[in-house]
Amino acid sequence: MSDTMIHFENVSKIYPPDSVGVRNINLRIKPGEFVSVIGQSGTGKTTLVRLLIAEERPSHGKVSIGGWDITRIKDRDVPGLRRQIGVVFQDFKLLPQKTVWENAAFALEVAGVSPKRIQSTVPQVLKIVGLENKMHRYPRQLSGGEQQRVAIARSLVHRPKVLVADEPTGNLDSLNTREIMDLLLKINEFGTTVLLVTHNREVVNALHRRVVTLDGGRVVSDQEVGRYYL
Amino acid sequence: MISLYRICKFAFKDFWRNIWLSFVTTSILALAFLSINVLFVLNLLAHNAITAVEERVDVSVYLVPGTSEEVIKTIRSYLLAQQHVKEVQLTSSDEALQKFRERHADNPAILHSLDTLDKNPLGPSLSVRARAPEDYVAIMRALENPAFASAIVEKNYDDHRVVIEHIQSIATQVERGALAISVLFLLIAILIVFNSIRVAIYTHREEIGIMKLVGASNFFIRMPFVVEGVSFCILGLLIAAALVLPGIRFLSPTVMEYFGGGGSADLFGYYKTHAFQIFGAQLLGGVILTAAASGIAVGKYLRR
Repeated sequence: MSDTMIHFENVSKIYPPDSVGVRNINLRIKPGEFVSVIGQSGTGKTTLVRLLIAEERPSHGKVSIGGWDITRIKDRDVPGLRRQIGVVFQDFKLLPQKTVWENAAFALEVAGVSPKRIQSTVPQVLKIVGLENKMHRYPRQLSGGEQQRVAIARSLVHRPKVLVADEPTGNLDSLNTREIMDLLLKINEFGTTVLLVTHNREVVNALHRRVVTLDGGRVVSDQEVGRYYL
Repeated sequence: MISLYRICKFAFKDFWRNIWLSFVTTSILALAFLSINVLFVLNLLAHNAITAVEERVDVSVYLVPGTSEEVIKTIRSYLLAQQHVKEVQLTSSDEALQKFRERHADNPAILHSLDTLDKNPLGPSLSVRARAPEDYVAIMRALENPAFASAIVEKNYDDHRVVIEHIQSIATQVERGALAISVLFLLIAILIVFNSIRVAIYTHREEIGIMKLVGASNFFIRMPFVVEGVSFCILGLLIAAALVLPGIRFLSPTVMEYFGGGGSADLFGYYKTHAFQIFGAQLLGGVILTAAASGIAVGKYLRR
């Protein structure tokens, strides 16, 4: 097994004409690591996420995941990549007309997974996120934290190698924030590499994990056990 | 197989979710198909009119009374050997006289005059039918053959060319008009399908974004919209067929009576025998166009 799960090599993303997303990013993340990427708004955190899930292509440099060079990934290979990376966002991105179960199952349905496997996988992930008793509720009947847990459950159904969480606690109160962070740590303990993108000082300081700080699209600090110092 | 089932499920869910939009799109497509069928029927009737006139055209060749059987046979064989000749019918002197008497049965003066004659004054005649209206000139030319000059008293050709050309010109114009209007209607229908799918996609943009996020293939995202577009088309055609067939059934006897029946004058019979080709071609054309329109409409949303 490779000792690198995520690798950014001299990666720059320039949006025409000359707006910098990220510049000369060199970042190596090991399998099973929990890394927080911090920085103020507009420092390139979301660009990193978009590069990882192949929503954007780098202008320069190379991006690889689990040894797979995705720098110039073909369109037809993008769905395969996204099934290997779970992604959760601040706004949850749940389908309001679907229940908790259906939202989680949706990721498997669109991937052509058999009903039998869906029946066995969905309860497992809902149990991991603690929503096994609310699987028939609709998103509007859940708290913000619970909605985020549904999004995490959906991101886990493909058993991804990497979980990318882009500001997952941005819309949550402190209690729900702690619950979500505990869940992300639990998922990390199962061996999933977690990349947390946030600007929440308390969250980062409480984690005592690796912290990569971005400023102006560049990595300005990379600490094994870091703190939010911006 | 599972994917196909899910694609259809998503497509039909969307069809119901935007039921008014689906209704309007299907109605427009039904109108487009209806107009195509009406124009097709008009075209069919124009061709019927031409055939009816063509069938009434012939060249009559009147022979000298008392022309021998052998000469008649030779002229007949000569004419049948011409590539433009479809058929030659002989009317003998006796038959000609009988027909003449029948025609003038209510005119005693003519009948009396005939009785005063000691022999049949009418000669045999040949009725020549050409394969195509434009062939009559060639047939008339063939009859100029000096070998038969002494046996032929008169040959005449009721020149229906002007009528035929007129009908042909109308038929061509109908055909062209039908084609142009059908294309126009289809284009309008396609634009409407395109827009309906775009609206459907707009209402689904969030779902599409999530589908892409969780690793759905572009094929899986695109296909429900293509299936939805194709369903509009199939439903539209079914509605059009449900209106066209009873309409034709109702009109068919009148048309048959007018054109003397048979062939494509039996519109309903013609539609019944050619239903597979007529509706099959419309279905194929419609499905290809709506599938393409839907596929293109969703294309924009499939970029990364």
